[in-house]
Amino acid sequence: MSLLEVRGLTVSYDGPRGTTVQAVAGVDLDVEAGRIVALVGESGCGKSSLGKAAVGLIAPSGGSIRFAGAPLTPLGRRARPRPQRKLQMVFQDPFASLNPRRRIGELIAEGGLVAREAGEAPMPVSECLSRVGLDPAMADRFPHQFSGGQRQRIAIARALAARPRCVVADEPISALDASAQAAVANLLVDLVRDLDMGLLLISHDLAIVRRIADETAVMYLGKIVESGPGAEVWRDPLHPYTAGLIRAIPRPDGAGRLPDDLPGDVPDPARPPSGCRFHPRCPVAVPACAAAEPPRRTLRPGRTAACDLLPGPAAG
Amino acid sequence: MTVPLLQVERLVISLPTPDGGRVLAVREVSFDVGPGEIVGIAGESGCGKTLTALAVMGLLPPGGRATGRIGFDGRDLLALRPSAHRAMLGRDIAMVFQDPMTALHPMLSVERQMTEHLRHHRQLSARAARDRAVEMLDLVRIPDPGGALRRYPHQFSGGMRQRVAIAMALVCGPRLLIADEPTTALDVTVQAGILRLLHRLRDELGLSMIVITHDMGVMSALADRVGVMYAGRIVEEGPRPLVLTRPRHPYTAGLLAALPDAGPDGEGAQASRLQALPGAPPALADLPEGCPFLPRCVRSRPACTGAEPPLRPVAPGHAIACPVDPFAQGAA
Repeated sequence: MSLLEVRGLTVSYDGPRGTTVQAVAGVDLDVEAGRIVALVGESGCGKSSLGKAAVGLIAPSGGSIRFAGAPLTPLGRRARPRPQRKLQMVFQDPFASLNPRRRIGELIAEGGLVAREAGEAPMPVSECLSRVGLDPAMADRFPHQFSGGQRQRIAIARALAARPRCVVADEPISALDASAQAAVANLLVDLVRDLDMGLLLISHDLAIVRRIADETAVMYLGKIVESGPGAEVWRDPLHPYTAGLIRAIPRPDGAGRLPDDLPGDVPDPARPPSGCRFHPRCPVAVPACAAAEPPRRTLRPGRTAACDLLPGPAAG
Repeated sequence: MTVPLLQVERLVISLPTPDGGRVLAVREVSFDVGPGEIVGIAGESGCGKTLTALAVMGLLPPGGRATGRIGFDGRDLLALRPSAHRAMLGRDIAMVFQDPMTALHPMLSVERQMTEHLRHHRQLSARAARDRAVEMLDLVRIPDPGGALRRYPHQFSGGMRQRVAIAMALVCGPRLLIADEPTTALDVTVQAGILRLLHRLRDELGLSMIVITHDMGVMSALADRVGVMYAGRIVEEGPRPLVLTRPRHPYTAGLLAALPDAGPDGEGAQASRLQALPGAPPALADLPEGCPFLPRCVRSRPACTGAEPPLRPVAPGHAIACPVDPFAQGAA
């Protein structure tokens, strides 16, 4: 049993004119203690909806989420059961997630209230700050006195104050400058190792994810289409969508090579294509791809993909 | 040697500060853009790359002042009256932004927005303007250009909207296009399409471009020459392959080394650490003595605290603002 266990998760929103948009359309995902699982995909693939459902910020329309062995209660008016407060979230924009009128020491201490309510000592503010590489003497400053990278460290410190066992981070590095990105990515790896936390890292940036994640899952239009160790997925993608995504990333190698186009737009999630959801844009699709939705199969040890054209064992 | 289309010479831009002072946001920036050439300007937020572009456009923020010279086709743009400078926008120089809605009016149809330019700048008839708009939408590969004219910006996807913004920028046939982070807000698969489009427009129209980006991948795909800015100055300038593969300024080297592409792959516990560049750029109002990169520099020498190092040539077409050239003959 994993620390965070997502099974058959669906998340639906009301669309225009009485339609229902299924942003997450049946996802299985596991996050273990001490490991980083990256969820990668383009806008509209459902990765943020999955992340919000995984911490209980939105209620799923189907499937189950278990945290530390118990079903997760979506956040509502009533207090969440104590063990579930060990699941925390970090958001993309450290300018929006920190109250500009509060000193960062107060903001971090407030994050620790969750631990206190659960009858446990929160991580002291000074330890939170030093764990994220900031000087504890900065506790009486305000968020505007920090750079983007430092603010994201403060937001992470705030989540740490609750002594989380698992953190869901939604694009925690994508709003940062290149030099700050590397430092915050390294910080996340250190925290996961040192504190034995689980981390679900939601990102659109496969290039950086492959360096820090233990496992990478690639989402397309509400489904996970491929999963495996990040570097392996990067080196040898199995699913045609993953391959197209990687070929579209421009490399900073000075060669002047233009990245490959993946024609077409992501379809409207309110009307997903029949069969394989990627088939209208897929360069190798055959007519059968429009008929049945391919299940995600284990094709090699540690590698899964949802494409019927790939050789490998049949779905079990 | 061809005559550059744009010659920026010793451009200095100052901005007012809240306490009534002024801060130098761009300091002594010089570069040329030749006909049909794509010059990339890289750097982190606040380095002055966007302000440099806005000065070329004559669109500095209120209170912003530029000195130096911006030669365009033999004229000094900084010496022009604001109205004369404005008259060149769209006609001679155009710009696309990170968010295409910066340039598109949400309440007006694409036809209205595109033909307005043409009728104003080129005095075309309504019919001729419409034909030209269709031609441009076709050029940027908008499906069904005639139908697209009747639509409103929100009816396009993000990538298609950026294509419409590019078509609109080019509709009056400018010779210089400034693209400020043109693909930063887009998904990578959509970005690939826009990068290919910009490259093709340069080839087909002989367009000159300034591409401003923080993304070294985008830089590598598009730029012929690269300028790297730090704290308001160009600290390295040279041909794209050299700057990206053999960076000579420690800031450029640090930026590139911090990218995930730089190191070997690894998994989990074996993951190689990313090589972060320590520290953050200095506040413009509070620049350190000597080299502004010194506090973050791995090559620092006692001399670096003296005067700010000037940009000096180290190879043909390649210059750095650093006294230490790692590739110099006899360098350690």
